[in-house]
Amino acid sequence: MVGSLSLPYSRLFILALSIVCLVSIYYYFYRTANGRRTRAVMQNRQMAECLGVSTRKVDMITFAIGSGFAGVAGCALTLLGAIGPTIGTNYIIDAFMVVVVGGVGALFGAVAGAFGIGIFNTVFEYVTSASIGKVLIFLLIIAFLQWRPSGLVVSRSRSLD
Amino acid sequence: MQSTIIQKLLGHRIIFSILFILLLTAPLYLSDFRLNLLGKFLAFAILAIGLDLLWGYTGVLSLGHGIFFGLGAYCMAMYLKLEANAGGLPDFMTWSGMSELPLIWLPFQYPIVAIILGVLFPAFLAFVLGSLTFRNRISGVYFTILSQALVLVLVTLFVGAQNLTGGTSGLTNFETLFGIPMNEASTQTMFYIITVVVLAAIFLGCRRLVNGRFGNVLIGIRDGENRMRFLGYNPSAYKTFIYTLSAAIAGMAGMLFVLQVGIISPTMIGIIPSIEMVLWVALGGRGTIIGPVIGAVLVNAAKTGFSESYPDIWTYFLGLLFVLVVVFLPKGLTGLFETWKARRKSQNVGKHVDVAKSYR
Amino acid sequence: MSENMLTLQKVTVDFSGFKAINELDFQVAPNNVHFVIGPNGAGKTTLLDCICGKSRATSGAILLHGKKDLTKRSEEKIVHQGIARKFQAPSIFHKLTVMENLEIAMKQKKRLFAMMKAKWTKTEKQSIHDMLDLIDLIEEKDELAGTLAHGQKQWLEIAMVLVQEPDIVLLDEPIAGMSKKERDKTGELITKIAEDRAVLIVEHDMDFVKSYADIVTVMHEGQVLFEGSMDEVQNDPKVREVYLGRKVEEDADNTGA
Repeated sequence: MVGSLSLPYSRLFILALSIVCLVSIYYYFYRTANGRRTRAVMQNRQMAECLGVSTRKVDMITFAIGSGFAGVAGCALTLLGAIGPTIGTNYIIDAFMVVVVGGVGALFGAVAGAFGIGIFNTVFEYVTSASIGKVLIFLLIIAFLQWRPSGLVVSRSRSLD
Repeated sequence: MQSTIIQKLLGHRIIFSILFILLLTAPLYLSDFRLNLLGKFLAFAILAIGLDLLWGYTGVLSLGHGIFFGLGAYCMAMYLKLEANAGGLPDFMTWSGMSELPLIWLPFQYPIVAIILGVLFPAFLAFVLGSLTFRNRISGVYFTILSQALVLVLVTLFVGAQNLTGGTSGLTNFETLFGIPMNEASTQTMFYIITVVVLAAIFLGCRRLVNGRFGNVLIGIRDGENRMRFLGYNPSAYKTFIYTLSAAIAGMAGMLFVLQVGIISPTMIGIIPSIEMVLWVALGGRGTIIGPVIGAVLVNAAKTGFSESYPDIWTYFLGLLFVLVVVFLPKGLTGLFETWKARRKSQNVGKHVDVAKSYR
Repeated sequence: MSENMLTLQKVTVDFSGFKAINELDFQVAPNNVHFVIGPNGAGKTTLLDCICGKSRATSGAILLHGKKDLTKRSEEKIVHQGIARKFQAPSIFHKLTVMENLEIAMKQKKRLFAMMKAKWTKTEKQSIHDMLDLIDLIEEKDELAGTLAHGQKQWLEIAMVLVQEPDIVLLDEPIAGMSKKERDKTGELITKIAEDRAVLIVEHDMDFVKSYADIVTVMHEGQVLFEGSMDEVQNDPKVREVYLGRKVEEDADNTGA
């Protein structure tokens, strides 16, 4: 190393921001009454309704929180590059894929999936081209799902459907 | 009771026949421009039927039918492009410095091969993705996401492989089909008639498929896939088949589209169009065969109408239309009709019971 | 009694550390109404699950007619071997009519292309009609199954099991949520269907078990605790201690002990 060490402060800030988001969403889901209700609705909507949980309200709050976090992610993205009205479509598929790989309804899975896809994406795009990289990552995900059809984190249930 | 059933069947048959004749005779009372538009809408309607077979009956939501549509369209377009250049290299290839026709383009010199590949290629792709996912019981939202990712991946590939696909500008400037000039009104009328006939054939074929026992099995898979396993069915095979079939239908629609519109580019087959296709089905009403046809034609007609009358703000109208339908007609337009029928039936309930008893 | 229809040999079902069934040996004989009882968590439903393929046996073998091993086969293949299952919650198809439910359930070639060509035959029509008669749903045959009463749904599902013409019928709590009258009728139905096949039933209702059982197996912690007639079960000290004993303190009247 020659000269002074320069750190990409904006990237560090994004890192910190994601950790804060992750911790707060974990706290919300697993430590608050609202989070408990949300998980109840997710696991058994009818039963939760019978126990007096307003599923409509939960739906609304969850959707609002999800949209809010998407907004935070959007803010973070502005620090990384150019933005435009269609910036969302570039990221939405990656975001969905993260959920598929991680397992629906699993926080840890989402984090692991995001890291996995992010790292492989970068590697593939570096080694090949951007478009071939996308194809490779897609094939990799399909192959991964042959091994773990419901993602990294699986929730078991006894019900039939 | 029996006579009412016959009346009903006749009623349906008569309505469909009238519609078919109206569509067939459209060249007589529509201007060339309008006819061309209608032909495009009907090509979309063909795709919508296939999509509904998959979503409305089998319960598999694909947000990636644009790509199957696109593959069909590109297959056709590749042939047309080669014919327009009379055996020479397409313009974009010479621009990117190629001197010989690439290997994948070779089969598309022959129109029959191009048409067959336009159906087989999307079907094959769907079969591969379908069997890999359904076999492992990947379904619901997982499958939907994968189907959408397929679009993203392939569209990126299409854009990236500029020298093979024409990149973002796609394929256009076609001149002849089988040596017949394409842009003449009589040729376009012929394409329109072919579209109507294909639509009718697909419509009747799919109706036959879903109205029998096979259709009930599909509904069973939609409503209780695992339950069907314990009745001795293999839902994965059924789902793969329907996915493949609907991809093949989408490929056909793509071919008819490119013949009438004269251009195909990645933006027409990407994520946004793929989502729009699902909206046609949702708007028309899923789980019926006529619903998606109505949806595809109406949405696209509205789109054209709005964009002609209000070129600046037409997208707002379209958005508003979607919101209104979702809020007030969650089952789509055919849902409205069903509700009306159910209400009429419940008024006649007393009569019905009597009839049922005397029938026994 | 002739050879056993179904033999389980040292079957274990392991749910990531928890052994729902532990080295279970178990037989089902033909023409018998065979009840399985036991406290919650004894592994009764898991027993049915691993016979029909919903849960996979971690080790051991499940032999049909003493030879074919079922543990590695897919669910639909097991059905084709003649084993049909009714689940605890009625899982009929609400958007299909009663008739259509039976139509897709009945014994026929269920592969993709065979199904595309399928047409009603006279014998099929007759047998479905007889079945509708048996479960008393003739008048409702063109109603959507979702509109049926709970008991009718249960019967429809039993009928869907029967039209598959299985050799072995697995029923999970068939009388749950039924009225007294409906229970009696279900009992008769069960006796009738056991005339030419084996019926294996998981049930909590001891009065019902007492009235219709040919043979009763008591399960406890994933293993067979006792097997015999209901009288023998009730008089067995082991059962009284482990199962009835515990139950008696909690709700004496339900057990019928």
